[in-house]
Amino acid sequence: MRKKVLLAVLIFTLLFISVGSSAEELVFTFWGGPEEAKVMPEACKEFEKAYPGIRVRPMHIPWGDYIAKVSAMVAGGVPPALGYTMETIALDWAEKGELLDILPLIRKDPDPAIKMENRLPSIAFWYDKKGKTLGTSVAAEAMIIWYNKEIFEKAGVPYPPTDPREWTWEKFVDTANKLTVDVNGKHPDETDFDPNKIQTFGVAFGNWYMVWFPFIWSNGGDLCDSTGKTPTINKPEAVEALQALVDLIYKSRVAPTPAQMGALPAYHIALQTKRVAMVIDGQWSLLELGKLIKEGKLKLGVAPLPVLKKPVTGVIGNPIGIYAKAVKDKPEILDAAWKLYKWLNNSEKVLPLIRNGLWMPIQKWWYTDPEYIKKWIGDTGIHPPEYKEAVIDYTIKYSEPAPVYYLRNFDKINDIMYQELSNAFLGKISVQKACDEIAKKITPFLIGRYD
Amino acid sequence: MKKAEAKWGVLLALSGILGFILWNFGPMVASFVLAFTDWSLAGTPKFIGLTNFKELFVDFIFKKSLWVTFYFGIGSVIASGITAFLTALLLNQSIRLKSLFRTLFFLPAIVPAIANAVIWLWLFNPTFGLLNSLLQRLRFPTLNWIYDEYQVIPSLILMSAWQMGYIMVIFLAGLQGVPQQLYEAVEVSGGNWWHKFRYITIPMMTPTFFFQTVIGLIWALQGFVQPYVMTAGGPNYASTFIVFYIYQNAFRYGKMGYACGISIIFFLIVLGLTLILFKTSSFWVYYEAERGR
Amino acid sequence: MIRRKRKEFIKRLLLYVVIFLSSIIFALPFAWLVRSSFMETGQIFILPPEWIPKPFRWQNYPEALSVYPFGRYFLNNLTIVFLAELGTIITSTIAAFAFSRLRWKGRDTIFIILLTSLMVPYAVTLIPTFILWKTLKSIDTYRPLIVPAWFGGGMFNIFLLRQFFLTIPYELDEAAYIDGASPLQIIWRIIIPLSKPAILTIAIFTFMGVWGDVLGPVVYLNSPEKYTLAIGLANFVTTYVGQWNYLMAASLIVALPPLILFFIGQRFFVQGITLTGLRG
Repeated sequence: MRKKVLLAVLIFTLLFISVGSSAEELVFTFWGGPEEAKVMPEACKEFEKAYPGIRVRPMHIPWGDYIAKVSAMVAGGVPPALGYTMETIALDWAEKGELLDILPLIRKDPDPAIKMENRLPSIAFWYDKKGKTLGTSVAAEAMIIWYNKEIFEKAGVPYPPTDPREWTWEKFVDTANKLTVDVNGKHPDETDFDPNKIQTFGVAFGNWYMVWFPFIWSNGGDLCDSTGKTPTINKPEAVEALQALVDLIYKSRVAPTPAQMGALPAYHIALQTKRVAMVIDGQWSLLELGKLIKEGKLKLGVAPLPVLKKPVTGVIGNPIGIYAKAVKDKPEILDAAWKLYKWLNNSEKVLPLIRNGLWMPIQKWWYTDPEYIKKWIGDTGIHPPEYKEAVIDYTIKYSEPAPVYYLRNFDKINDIMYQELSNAFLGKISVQKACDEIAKKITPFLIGRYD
Repeated sequence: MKKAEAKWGVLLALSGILGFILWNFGPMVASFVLAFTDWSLAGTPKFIGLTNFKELFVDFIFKKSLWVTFYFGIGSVIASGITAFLTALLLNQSIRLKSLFRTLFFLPAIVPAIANAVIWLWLFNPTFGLLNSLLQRLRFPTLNWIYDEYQVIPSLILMSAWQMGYIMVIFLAGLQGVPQQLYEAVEVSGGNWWHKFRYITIPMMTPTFFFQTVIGLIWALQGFVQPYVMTAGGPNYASTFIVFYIYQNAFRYGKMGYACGISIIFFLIVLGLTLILFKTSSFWVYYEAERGR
Repeated sequence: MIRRKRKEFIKRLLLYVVIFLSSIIFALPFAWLVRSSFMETGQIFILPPEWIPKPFRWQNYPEALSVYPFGRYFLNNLTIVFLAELGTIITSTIAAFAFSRLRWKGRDTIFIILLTSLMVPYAVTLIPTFILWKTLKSIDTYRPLIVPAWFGGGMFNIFLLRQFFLTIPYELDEAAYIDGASPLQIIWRIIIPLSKPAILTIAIFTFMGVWGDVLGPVVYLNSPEKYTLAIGLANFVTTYVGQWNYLMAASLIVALPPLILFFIGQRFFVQGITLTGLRG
């Protein structure tokens, strides 16, 4: 008995010996795949070289547990100095003082790359009646259409136009129809077309807000009014847009049902294996698509989104926030954090992630200055020739911010939209009915905007 | 003797009791207190009294998730319990390669959760999944599995029956614990396999069954991975388990206080169920050690 | 006589057939895991599914293991698991004994109170628990992952062992007390030998639980050199796309130690515990 007690005490002592090490360094938390896991620490190393005396500790956290870990750190009083923040929660944390308002710092700083007016306006996070900001997304991501040029060529169908004003919805549906074939080679508009045995789908898209909203906006509608307090999702403009998407599945039969979507592999594989001709997707897929291009397996094309009434696309991207409590009353840390923030938000410093197709830059001059455009897409081997018109010009001209940039409770509203619309996309209820349900259920959560 | 026994009892149970006080009690109480606040993980929690509970009362998602969770929980305990028991009986016979077969049956439990979810997404696939292919081959109509709001819970119950490896192992251990003498006694009195099963196996296994029922329920009711990785709680909220809804409120909607409110209600329900199970256990659970004490 | 033998033979054949067929069904997901681990990510998701990897990417294994320092992670896992196992087995056995074979006031009530620790979802206790450990200066250490194991190892284990201990006749303890034994000696000499399957069961479960735990290490560890295998696996799946082929290969390797342990442990699941000295 005594021996056991001694053993226990020994183990406890071993366990409780404090191993202390608290160096003065900036903790920077982030998530991402292997490319980001490599490039971000490299960018931090470059930063340390440029600013000797500041140490950075990049902390790569798995995406699935990111919010739990960082919330625990914040609530536990050991926040990072800087870190990725989920778009859906960023403004709330900023309002509550957890993230720093950087407008005063921007004003004092002469660096043009950091000025809000020099960054894409559609990716900015404003709050307090546009008096405060936590900056912009660290990268922009626009919604566009990727397509497999070989499928187009084989079917004798002209590529989509790069000017969205020529890419009307009718033309889009017609194109998709010509590209959709069943196992017997029949198109959806032919009499003996078998919708259960479709070999190639004309178009595929996911069931989420970055697909819904650009088309709702294109038709002149929106989720709610500009105060963010009254739902307009069940008004004709929004309903028509969503109906147009649902019709692609059940009327024109050029798109897969949700169950059939489950049968399709990831977009880049689906395109490459010719299961789909076009995908409505985010720009970030270029990372994986690019790998297939380099292997010679895919001839990729890119086009803007088709237009219902007016050309528009959505942009999204998570921001890097400076955690207020980490820098409070510590001017040296604030200074160091600000320097690192500027570094990471200057797209030039994270160029590998832009050139490999994952990110789009955030300073405006990347979209207008030929020098910068060359830095972005020149000789990458993966950006299709029409990329400049279809993506770069398209984004700078027609992009609108996703609701996460301004709407309160958007995450909750989005989940409600998803559940209700899933019934419509399964063909079980009409879009109008789904939207009426949405309007009813989101009303208590529509409490306004952050800006 | 009794006093010494009592002293030893408390002393030896101390590690468990201390463990509870140190690592569980504090956080549990904290989460209960938070239920009366509004907190988005930023700033400090703001006391708001019973507002969260008033909101819960009219929250249609919460009500649906209660129903969905218990539907799944009870179904899962029954399905995986029966499957596990049958398998354990099967693998308790004297056959060759016992270890190999037991390991094969245990495999689904050992596959990491992420990989498991992907595998099942493939199995459930309506167009090309294995399950529908099998149905087609047997000339049955195919199903939509997790893409249909009425089929999703039965699908998930099927999936949990597949992962009964843990329970099978527990039942195997329980079967091992039945003394050989008792079976021999039945044989001597001329009984057959049915008598052995009915009068020895089942009664001696009741403590294990009790464990499986209580723990199985507590665990199944806290299912989380399925909606988190596979179904996003849909279609039409049909797989929004309570713990998933709690997680969403806590970490995505910035409503930690609300999430804690849901937890309290969930906790009270589970506690109530457990108490009922314990109180009624004396009617059907047979403890050899308590015999004559 | 021959007829009886034939009946026996058919029965046994049937048994083997049933077991064999069912085990295929259960082994299927694992087979899918194995075949995927040798494929390129693209081929994994082709439908209808293909079972022969083309090309056969055995390279997935060395490549996956080199993306993150899995060797280091493996050592870390061993450390954590060893200490946690030891603590769990020792303290949960002792505690379960106290809750099942000793009589003391409030025993069953306290048992149920302790059970409530299983009824509160982690999402709401995560942050308070984190704050608790921060106050104990244990962030970025292995303590939050190991120390609780030494305090009973969790109610799951105590409950399970309690149920098993309640199936052992009390006469054995009685006899030992009469001979002047202390409860600890009874545990060591009588209960543990009779409970090998149960203790092995919790040993296996604890091993698997700690081995594959993701959330604990992610939340409490900051230094990459302390990371565990589970964190390495979690990093293969990200927001946009997963490196599924690496994930499958790495998952297989990570799952091997528990699997091997389970297979070996089966040897101790022996039927027919004979209770000598029982009055019968």
